[in-house]
Amino acid sequence: MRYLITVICLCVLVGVAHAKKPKLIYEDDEVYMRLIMRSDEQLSAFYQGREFSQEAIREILQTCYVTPIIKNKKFDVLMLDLTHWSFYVDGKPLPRIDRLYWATQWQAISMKQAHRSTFGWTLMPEQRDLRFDEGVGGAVVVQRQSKPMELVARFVTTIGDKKSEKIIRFKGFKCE
Amino acid sequence: MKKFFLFLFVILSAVSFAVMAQSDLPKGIMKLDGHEAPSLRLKNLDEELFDINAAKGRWLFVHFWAAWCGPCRREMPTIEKIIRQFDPKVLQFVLVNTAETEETVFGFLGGVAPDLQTYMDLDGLVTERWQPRGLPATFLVDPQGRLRYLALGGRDWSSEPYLKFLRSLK
Repeated sequence: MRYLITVICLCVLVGVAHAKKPKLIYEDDEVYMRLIMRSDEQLSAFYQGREFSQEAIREILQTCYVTPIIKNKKFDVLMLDLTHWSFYVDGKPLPRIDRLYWATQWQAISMKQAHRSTFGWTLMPEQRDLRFDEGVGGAVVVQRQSKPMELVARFVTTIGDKKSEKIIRFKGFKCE
Repeated sequence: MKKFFLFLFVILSAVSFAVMAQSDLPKGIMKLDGHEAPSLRLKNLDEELFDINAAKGRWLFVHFWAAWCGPCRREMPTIEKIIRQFDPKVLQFVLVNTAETEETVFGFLGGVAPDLQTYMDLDGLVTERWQPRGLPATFLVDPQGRLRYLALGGRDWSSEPYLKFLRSLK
């Protein structure tokens, strides 16, 4: 009986934990977009596996990784431009950490070129003209903080000569 | 008048042929503008040198990959499957690992596609010069050394549409 009660309690706890996690998938007939939040353990394991120095991993863990995966399901071109993306915390803008920041950090710790290159490939491209059926993924990095965030991702879309804007919003996700 | 219609017919045929040729490309293959391929001069794990300047006169399948990229893991065995079906004097496969160590590459290929050889872009700078749209990425370079096609992301190269496409490169 005690065993049964323990199992039921565990199931309820797991259910509550899952229920609290916001749904980080957007999908319609035009675009698929998903956000993945990487934990410190996942990030450490990935970069340790690539033989990054502890110093470099410490730098990475001071920030917050948001990893979007995007697929263009309809348009001739879905234009990704990270300068048109905005992150907010409590309604206030949260600056994005760009490639220049990383270049400065890596220069300061004399990171070897191969690791700089690998790191660069794990980041989301700053701009990409996503063709029909093309996907892209990579890390978008913001300052680490504990409060829930909001992302407003703006894309310019093209079908033939017609251009328009598509806005996708995610709310309530946190650094893990 | 007759000449005008004949001229119109020829023009329309040429245009529709061009459109058909473009739309005949298998999914995820993008036509490029034919600008000159960047330089590529790298050694493989056996210290053999590949120099793109010495490889003119044949098509090149230049494939950038890394062991940490999931789609690369799935795609690599499909390249291994087809590589022997092509005469390297007609279509040569040039695999380029991006910024990883020999140990990592040796371990990865041993488990995933043991018959494949790869050239090593040890510092990742050659890959950056080629500017692929992510990893994996495959460029098809024509016998004059011009970039003709780009395959976006990973795929099963041993499936019929891709095999047919590669066989059509003459």
